[in-house]
Formats: sequence, C-alpha cells, structure tokens
Amino acid sequence: MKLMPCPLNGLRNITEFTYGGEVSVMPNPDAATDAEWADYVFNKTNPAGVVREWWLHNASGYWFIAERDAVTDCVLKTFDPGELFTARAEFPVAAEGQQKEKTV
Amino acid sequence: MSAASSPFPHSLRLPPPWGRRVDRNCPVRFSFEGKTYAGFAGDTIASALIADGRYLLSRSFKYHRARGPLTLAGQDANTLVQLPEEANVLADVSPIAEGLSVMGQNYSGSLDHDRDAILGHFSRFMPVGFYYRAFFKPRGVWKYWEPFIRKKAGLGALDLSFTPTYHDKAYLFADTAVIGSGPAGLSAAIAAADAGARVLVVEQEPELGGSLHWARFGLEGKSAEEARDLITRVQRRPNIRVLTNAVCNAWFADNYLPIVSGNRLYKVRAKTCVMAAGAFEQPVIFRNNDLPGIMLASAAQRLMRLYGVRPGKRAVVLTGHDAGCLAALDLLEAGVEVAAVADMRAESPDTLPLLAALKAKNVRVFSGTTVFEALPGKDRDGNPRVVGVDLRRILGAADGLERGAVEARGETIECDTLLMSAGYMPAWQLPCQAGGKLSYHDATARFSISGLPDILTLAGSANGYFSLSNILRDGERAGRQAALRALGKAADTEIYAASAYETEAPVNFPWPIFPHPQGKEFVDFDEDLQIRDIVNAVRCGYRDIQLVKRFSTVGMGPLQGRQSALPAARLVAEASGRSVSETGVTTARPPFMPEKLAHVAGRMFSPLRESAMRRRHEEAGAQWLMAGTWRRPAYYGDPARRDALIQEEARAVRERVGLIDVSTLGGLEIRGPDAVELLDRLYTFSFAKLPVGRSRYALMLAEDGVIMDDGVCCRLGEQHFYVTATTSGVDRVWRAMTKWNAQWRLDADIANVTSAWAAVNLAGPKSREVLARAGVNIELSGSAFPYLGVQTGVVAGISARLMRVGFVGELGYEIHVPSRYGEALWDALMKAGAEFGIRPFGVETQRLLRLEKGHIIIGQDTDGMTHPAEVGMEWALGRKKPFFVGKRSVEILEAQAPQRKLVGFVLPKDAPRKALEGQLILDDTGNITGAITSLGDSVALGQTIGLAWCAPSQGKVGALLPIRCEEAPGGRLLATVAATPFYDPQNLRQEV
Amino acid sequence: MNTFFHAAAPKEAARFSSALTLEDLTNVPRVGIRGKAAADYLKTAGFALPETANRLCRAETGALTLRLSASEYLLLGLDADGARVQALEASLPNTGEGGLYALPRRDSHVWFRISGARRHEAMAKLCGVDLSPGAFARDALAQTSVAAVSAIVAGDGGGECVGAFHLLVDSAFAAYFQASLLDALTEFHGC
Repeated sequence: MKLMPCPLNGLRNITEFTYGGEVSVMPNPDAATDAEWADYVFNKTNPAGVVREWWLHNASGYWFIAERDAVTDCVLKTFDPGELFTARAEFPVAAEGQQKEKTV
Repeated sequence: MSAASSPFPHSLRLPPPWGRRVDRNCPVRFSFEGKTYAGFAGDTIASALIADGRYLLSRSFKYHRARGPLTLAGQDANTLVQLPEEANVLADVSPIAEGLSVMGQNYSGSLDHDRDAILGHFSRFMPVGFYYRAFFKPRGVWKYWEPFIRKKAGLGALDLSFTPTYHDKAYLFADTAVIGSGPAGLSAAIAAADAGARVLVVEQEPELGGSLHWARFGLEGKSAEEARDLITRVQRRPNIRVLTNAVCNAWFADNYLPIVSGNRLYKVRAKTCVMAAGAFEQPVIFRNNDLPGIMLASAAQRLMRLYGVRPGKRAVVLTGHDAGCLAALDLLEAGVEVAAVADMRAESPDTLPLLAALKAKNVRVFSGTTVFEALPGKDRDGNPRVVGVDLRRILGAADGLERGAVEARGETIECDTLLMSAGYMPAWQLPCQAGGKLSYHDATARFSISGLPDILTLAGSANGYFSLSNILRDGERAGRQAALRALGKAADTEIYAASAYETEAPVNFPWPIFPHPQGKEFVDFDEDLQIRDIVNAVRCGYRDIQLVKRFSTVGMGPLQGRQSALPAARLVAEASGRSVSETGVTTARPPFMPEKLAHVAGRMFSPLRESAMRRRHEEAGAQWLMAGTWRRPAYYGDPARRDALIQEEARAVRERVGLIDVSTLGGLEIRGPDAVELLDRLYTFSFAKLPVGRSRYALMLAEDGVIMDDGVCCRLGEQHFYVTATTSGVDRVWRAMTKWNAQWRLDADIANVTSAWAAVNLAGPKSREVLARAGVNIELSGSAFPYLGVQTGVVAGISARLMRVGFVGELGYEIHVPSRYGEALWDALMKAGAEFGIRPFGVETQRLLRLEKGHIIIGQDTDGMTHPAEVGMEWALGRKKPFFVGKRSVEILEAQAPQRKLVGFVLPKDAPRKALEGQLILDDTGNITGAITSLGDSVALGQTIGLAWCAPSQGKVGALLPIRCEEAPGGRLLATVAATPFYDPQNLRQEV
Repeated sequence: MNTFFHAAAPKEAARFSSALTLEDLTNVPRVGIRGKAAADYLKTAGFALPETANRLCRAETGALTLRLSASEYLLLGLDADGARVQALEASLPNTGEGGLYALPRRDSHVWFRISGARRHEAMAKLCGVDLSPGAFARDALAQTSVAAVSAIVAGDGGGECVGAFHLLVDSAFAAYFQASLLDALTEFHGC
C-alpha cells in the first residue's frame, strides 16, 4: 500500500487520503467559448509524465497538491496550495485574464 | 477407522542427532485413510508416514497418478491431504496431532486403489488444451459432460457447516524487515541490528535457521554448526523481533508486507526490506520423474536432519551440481545405501573433488549421465513406488543431436529412492512483485534479478550465492545497507566489493530435460503436463509464455510454477527460437503461499454511525435502514405491518404532530468576513441579502451544472451561517467547499459540525403547542417566528437553534441541540406531545410526506446528469451573481433542447396493479422515455402518487403517462400527469 | 463501560490488566479553536502553545493543548484544568468575527484514554501509524485513521508515569468505536 507524504502530517498510508482530481486552471467563465468551457470541465490532460493533482488528508481535512510521475507512480513533491494559489480569487475575473498561477 | 494398526518399523528412523525437530519421548498416534500410524511430536504428516515406509499421499490432478512428497518443504502440491475441517492441507508442513484423522483427496474409491487412475491410460486423448475443443459437439452435449467434469475437477472437499475461528489483523512496524532466516537472513538481521535498526525477521518454518539445519555445506559438513551460532545471536538482540511460522505472502508498494502467522494477518510496514528467502531446487525432467520415492535432494536432507527419517533403503542420486553430491554424502552418513550417483556434468571425478570423495567411499559414480526413465514398481503395501532407474549417457551438442538426447542403451540400477537436483531458481515471486526483472543467462545458466526499488535488497541464494561464506557475506552486506538506508544514514560500500566474494561453481545444469518416446516426463506436477504438452502449445501458435500458461495451464496449479517455470521457459525458448530471458516467466502475483479467506476477512472494520437518540429509537421499536454509514429508523413497529404503520405515522403528522430524528442531516458552520461570498459562489442562490434570523433553500451544483446536493442555509449573524445538507451528501459537500476555498483563499472558516448537533423535526398542526408545552423562551406566533425563520433559544432547558422548515408540508420546527442533549430533547418533546397524540416517525414516512409535497430527493429523483431545468428548479438560480459553481455550464445546458422532464403523476384509485419504483415510462410507440423515481400511497389523497422522468412532450398536466408493467393488462399501467405539490398546493399549512 | 450517551454518568475504567486500562473521558471539558487570532487568544489566556503542527503541550495543571494545524488548536481540560477550559469555551465569541472560530469538540467527538505499557501493541491492532515509543514522542499527536474512522491520537505530554494515548473520534461512531476498541483489547486480558 502506497505511502503519501502529506505536507502537514508526514508519510501516511494512501488510504488516509482522498484523491481530488487534476489541478486545472479555470478559464474566465464569461469569456470562454462553449467548447473551451466544456474542455475545461470534462477533459483532463492526463500526461504520461508528471501530473499535478489534489489530495485531501481525511482525518485532518487538509488539502494539498502533489506532483506525481504517472508512469513510475512516484510522488515527487507535495506542497500547500497556497504556494500555487497566492491571491484571493475574484469574480468576475479581472479583465486582463485568468487567476494568477505561480509558474514553477 | 480400521482396527488394524501398522507396525512401527524402526528401520527407517534415525537416532539423534538426526531429527532435531522430533521428540522421541512423545509418541503421537494419528490415522491416514483410516489406518493408524505412529509418529513423534514434531513430525509432520508426511515425515511420520514416510517413517513407516508410506510415500503415496495423493493422486495427481488429471491422470490420477500416485504421488509422494517432492520438496518436503510445502513447495509442491503432491502432499495435499484432507483434514476434517480443512481441505488441501500441505502434509509436509502440517504437524501431526494425537487422534488426527487425515484423508487423501481427489480419488474415486480409495487413495491406494483409485478407479480414476485409468485416466492415465487415456492421456493420448487428452492432449494439451483438449478441453477447448472436446465436450462441445454435438450441440447440447455439454450439459451431460458438465456435471461429470465438475465432480472430477477440484481436489479437496469443503465442509459447508464449518464455523470459522477468530482471525484478526494487526499492524507491525520495522526499520528493516528480513524475509527468511537461513544463513543469509540471520547475518543480515544481525548486521542491521548492529547498525541500529529495529529489525523484524520473518521465518516460514517453526524455527530460525533455514538451511543451516539440513543442508550440507562442504565436504566435511561442519560449517553449518558454526553458523548456527547466528541463531543465538539473533535471539539475544533486543532490537530484533522474530516471527516464526510466519509467511510473507506478497510485496506491496513501499514495503507493505502481509505476513500470515497463525490466525493473524500482520500488515507490516518496513522502511527497508532484505529478501533472503532462498531459492527453489529444480527437478530433472525424465520419464516417470513423479513416482513416489523420487524427491529433490534437499527433501531427503530435510527428512533426515529435521525429522530423523531415512528416505529409503537404497538410493540413487541424480545431480547437475555439487550440492547433489553433498546430499549423497549425507545419505551415506545416515546409513542409506547409495547405489549410484549420476552426475549430468561431463567432468569426471578427477576434476570434481566431491565425486572423487564419493568414489573413495565405494559409490559408483557416472559422469555425463542422467536418469532416462524411472522404473515403476510396488512398495511393501502394493502401492506405486520407484524400484529402479535407467541410467543413460548424455550425448553432447557436439554430436549434432538435439539437447536432451541420450545414448540408445544404458544401465538399470535398482533402488527404492531417487534424489534429483538440477540446480536452483531464486525465489523470484516477491522481488518481481516489487518490479524486479528476472533474467537468465543462457550460456552460464545463471539467474539474476534487477530493477528492484532501492528500499528492497536480495541476499544469499536469492541473490545467486550458494557457498556458505558468500551467503554470510552477502547477508551482512544487505543487512547493513538496508539498515543505514532505513535510518537515513549514508551507505558505506567498503565491505561490498565484488572481490570480497569467492568464486563459485555454477549450480544450474543448462539442460536437464530428457524427452522420452513414451512421454510422462513431467514438467508441471500440479497440472500433469509433460514435455510434449509444452512443445505442442508452442506448435499450436502460442509463443508468448503468458499464452502458453493459459493454454496449457502450466504454472497454474497450487504451487504456481515453483518447479515448472524454468523447464517451461526452456522448452518454449527452444521451440520458438529464443533465449530463456527473452521468453521469460509469467507474472508473479500474490499470495505466495495459499492464503485463507479468514485471514483476509478476519476482523473487518465496518464503521457505523448512530445519532444521540439511538436508544430511544430502539425502545420505540424502530426498524432500521442504512443511509451510507448511518443507521436510521425507517418506521417504528412490527415489520409485518410495515405499510400500515407508515400510513399511520403519516396520518399522525398530517392530523396531529410527529417527531423525526434528523441528526444525520449535515451541519456546516460557515463563518468569517467572506462567509457570504463563499456561499454565493458555492450555491445557486444569493445570500448577501438574506436577513439574520432567516433561512433559504440552498442548491449546490457541480461544475458541469449537475445537481449535487441541497439543504437549508440559515443566517445566524452577519458573518455566521449554519447550512444543512443531505445525509449522504454532506461529506462530499464539505470536501467540495474546502477544496474550492483552497483555491479561492477567501477569509472564511468551514466546519463540518454534523455530529456536534442532534436535531429533530417536530411537524404537524399541533407542533406549535407541543413546543410551547415543552418550554421555550421564544415567541412562537406566526408573526414572531414566521415560516423560514431562524432563532436561537432554550427548549426544555437546552440551548437550541430552531428553524421553521417546510419539507413535509406541515407547520414544523427543526430543533438543533448540542448532541449530548439529544436524548433529553427527545424525551422532553415526547412528554410534552403526549396529550396531543405525538408519534415518532421514520425515514420511510418522511419520504412519503415530502412526496405529497413534490419535493425531490437528491440521488433518488436526480441522477448524475440532472440539471436544474429538468426538475423545474430554474427559480433557484441566482443569475445576477457574477459567479457560482456550475453557472456557465447551466447556461450552456439551458440553451440545448431539453431531453427529459421530472413530473408528478397519480395512479387511478382502481389501478389494476401496484406500480413499483424503477418501472419504465414509455411513449406511444413503446420507446423508453424515463422511469419512476419515487412512489407512495398518499394518505391525504387516498391515491398512489409518484415522480417520474419522461419526455418533455409527455409532461403536460392531465396527460396520460404509460408505465411499463408486465402484469398489467396490455403490459401498461396508465398514470395521469399531475401538478405538484399534490397536497396543499398553496403551501398554506406549513406557513401558518 | 459508560459511553458518550450517558452524559451525566461518571467515567469508568475498564482494566484489562496491569499493563492496559481503557477510560471514557467524554465528559471532560474540551474545546477547539481555529483562526488567525487563535494563537494570540490562547497565549493571552495563559496556555503555552506547541511550536509546530501535530505536537502538544502539557500545562502543569493538567490541560493538554494540541496543535492540529497552522491555526487550529484543541484544548483538553484534564485534571485540575477542567474549569479553566470550560471558561475559555464560554469566553469565545461565536459570531464568526475576529478571526477566531470556536469548534464544538465536546459534542462532535468522544474521547478515550488508553494507558499502560502495552498500549501501543493494542493500538497496532487498529491504527496504521507507528505509535511505538521510538517513533511517537510523548508530545506528538497524529490525525489518522483508527478502526477505519478518522481519529486524533495524542500522547500524554509526559504527564502520566506509565504513559497513555488519548483518542478522539467523531461522536456518531461512538458505539462502533468502543466495540472495536474492546475487541482489540480483549487479547490483553490478564497479561
């Protein structure tokens, strides 16, 4: 049974966690075309490489993000979402574009 | 059980120090196939029977050939016997017990005279894969074959009245786990403990030491004694924990190891793991290599050293490497006559010192020779046994002949025992489960396993070492490396230099396979597969080893290829023109040893949630239903009167007052400066203008616009909301909320306080009076506490949150109190309501009452694609808000033509049949357009009502709605579409 | 043994052996507190705080302060500190203002204490986190799964001579959890 390194709780059995889906950036819901919006809602990139995904540690209610090599199933890095989502998200979305995302 | 007992032939028993496991002061009597035998405490069933000269233990799967022990280590299926409470027990590792009654399996008549043995004569008609082509023609003949085949297939018999004993599980933690406690495992454990690790040693046998107790290392055979000092050292180390009679049955990710021991399954997590589980000795493939009395060399050594039993009187040894010669020396020491040693290697005694030593002891030595055929005969009891061997010289490749060719003539040697050893295959199963790749070098016949994760290391013969000093050194290296890694320290490599190991002679004879024109040279003993079966599988077109396995069943028997994987790979490689490495072995999967369901199922955890009022429900005669992990009352009273009781409860609520426990409804406390903003984004409605002291329906959509959950949102303060959700949805809702806020970073606190609050719904025209009677410090008039109002106050002395809700369509109050007071609240309300005829009501009743109001239940009336327009909930969408989850998707969906609609319907009072939830809705041409989602017998209307999906064109009020019902005349029940709410359409009663 | 639902009954101990005792502490005062202002509020009230998450502090008068995250604390009002923790709870605003959020831990959780030298062996039947003395300090805590339900497992802060674990579990699971505990502890009878 796999071990997951939780940023808050340390190495724990994977059964202590709930998978939360791929990390994806929401396009501006007012500006996106129907096709762009549907692509965001339904399609995942699912690369044969490093994926970024949400995980929840059930007992502590803590959400975090993991970077995992989907081919070797090796968790490379886990970190607090605050490192990626640095500012309060606003709606409607600011005119100049999408939510700010820190490039890694 | 027959009255006759067998005489106890002391001639096969050896004196001490042979037989370290048996206690000769403790005789034990047991029976096998109805005959009494005697052994000693410490004997296994097999060793005690062999001591009495009995080898025949089982009948083979297909041909019902007589079989005796092959490995004597639980690594072959020839020893499967039946115990009173258990089938398929390995007789060579199961201890005898006083009075134990053991039977054989898989025979017709008796084990000794199995009528099905005749099948062996028809092997010509049972070529590999014959069952894929036989039994099907002429058409319909299968149903005559099937019962016959079912009877013949299978081995032991199950006792269905058997009661399982208590089995449980426990976690266990270690820095370094060492699997196997032979010389490699022991030296690894000590090195790891010395390096400071917390070590766990897992040993399959009843004692530590492994091969140190039975193998002969070297001509003098003394080195094992010195190495046994390792056992004491392991036992003395405080940081080494030992589990014996414990099997590591798999390798799972990150060194998660299931260890089965006794009635317990240990779930071990080790930071690092040393696998020192040894290697499987390999048989030679020749005609009749499965006769009782033919065994692996190590089996004979185990028999003598562990159990003090000679394998027979006159033995021949067939070997491809030094260890076979060492076994021959053991036989001589034990007083067994060694009639011949046939060494498949071409080298003579002049170059091989062990052969020279044997020759010096007057043993006839044949170099470059194999057994071509074992000769069958009868033993003392008249049972099949080897009585001699036909030795033939092996013809070399230089002669231009196929591998495995032998001379046309040889020499027959009489014997009652044959030891064979063609080499070793490392225990590859667990390393390969860990991602290791098994390779085989065809020229040198050497195995290696590569590609292991760095938390796992092999040691000893699993790692390709067979000399004792190399094994010990390799164990030390592995143990130290594993410990340092587990402790997070840097590895030191000084002692690991390859030069530190001494050179070893090869152990695997490259081609120990000798086809015979009359066949019966068994490659797979479990499945009765001969050389031609494997070769023919390839000729049928199955080149991939995985396909050869499935087509021929090689390796699919109880012991999963331990002896058959290598010869099968060799034969397939040869037949398909590839190397053995290219051919490979099939995927190793858990469990390693047979595993009982009781181990996996023992002491399962089935979490159960109950409200604070559970004792009151029990006392009131609740009939329970499960909602997720919650147990809730469905209704109260005798199940034989279920429908009537639900009607009575419903009537009580409509006419007087009822009380239902709604503690399971989720409670989420949302607080903080951004509380409003958070709720506005998560739910479809707008809450910014919701006044303090008021509540509003809360509908939550998923990102794709599908209805996810609903509830009621109460405003307790400017920055304080209390939101309910459905019982089964609240956990999901809370997860969605917290995940969104991890991205949005709003300044709001989200707390799931469901179990902190016990809650009831006091509903009915008399509910106001009951509440007043119970004692409340709030004005209850309709103007002071209107419909949808929210108040905090004190009810019967308990601080409470009260809200007026309309789910069941009557005047009602949802009262939430801290759950420690739940029972007290229930008691107070029941007491206050007594004079008003209060009645507790359950979930089934509530379902009916809400149905009369046309309220949907998420997950029952909605599915994974339902969006608001389909259920007439457009009114709940706050379109002026800049954003809410699902908003954009809903706009896209609304622009599309509607596919379906949820409508209410009634059945006529004289409907010929009762409809059922789930029955289909049809259109005029008989196409399916929907299904019934909810159905109930309305007390108030005196009619059956329901909700159903249908085509939008069918949804006009008053239209006929055909329900597919086979028992109804014409296969249709005709319902009439009705407007909802069915009951009190103006909602006057709940808003009073 | 008394459970959560017998709110007024005194706590009772189940003594399995000299090496293992189980008590129900559900009636002992406790409160959760979360938010940006939580740390300062607690310090002002005189509680020492652990420096990192998943650690606890023990006050001399008995209270345990558990730090569950960067901004969440759980106060267990053991021994003489029952009244003090109750007073703290009463003083907390529940308006949602001030960056200070109270959590109703008295009702949302039940609380058991396992004491004795063999407690980590007993816990190994229920919990996949290594709680043995070398791996789990007396001032550590783990938010994990015990008997397949979410739970908080806390050390005793060095307060008890023999050593104990505190277990807090969602109160809806109370009866199930107690049954699982008793089942796991049965093998330690009389050892």
